[in-house]
Amino acid sequence: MTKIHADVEALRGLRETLARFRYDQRDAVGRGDGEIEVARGELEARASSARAWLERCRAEFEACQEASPASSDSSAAMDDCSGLARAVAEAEERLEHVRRWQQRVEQEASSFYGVAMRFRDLLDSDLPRAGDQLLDMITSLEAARRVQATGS
Amino acid sequence: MTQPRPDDDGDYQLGLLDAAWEQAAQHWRDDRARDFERYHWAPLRQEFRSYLDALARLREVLGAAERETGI
Repeated sequence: MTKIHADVEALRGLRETLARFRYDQRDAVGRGDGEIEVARGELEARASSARAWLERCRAEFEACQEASPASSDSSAAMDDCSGLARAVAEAEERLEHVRRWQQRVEQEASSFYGVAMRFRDLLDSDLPRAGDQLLDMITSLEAARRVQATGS
Repeated sequence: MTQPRPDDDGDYQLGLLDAAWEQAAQHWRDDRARDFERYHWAPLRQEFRSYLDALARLREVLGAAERETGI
């Protein structure tokens, strides 16, 4: 490559790099959204599982209370069902724990979507304009070289 | 929950962009070059860096959510 064409080649290289970057990153941004959807699905499945477990614990606890004779010593009845009461409390805490993580993921996803949208806009609108500007520059440099070559 | 991606290495991508820009900037130093840097190049780098940082934070939270809720 002669020195006089080095600028044109460098601009061409920059334009091609930007075009490749745009192609790769548009695909990548879409996959980022996909990761969030997968995470949401898995967390919802875990929340559903935790809800089902809580309902089962509650049902067993209620059955235990109903089975305890009303006329019997109430503290003895509580002792009989205390293990199930603890299981209900633990199941409630487990479900709440999953819900808190669902909220945390939604907050982070919302923040990510904002940044990703700006980046996607840049890829879709600004980068093509930048590529066009580089092409104009390359074209005008090549035209000037042709004029110089013709005139020399 | 998160899968490895071939384009994970954002710094590598940034390096490719920087190398191409530096090569062009050696030969292109007029007002149009300065405008290009100001209105296209700098915003591109900044938005890409912000995107990579947001993606890293997101994946950290998704990974933690997976670990912490693995019942």
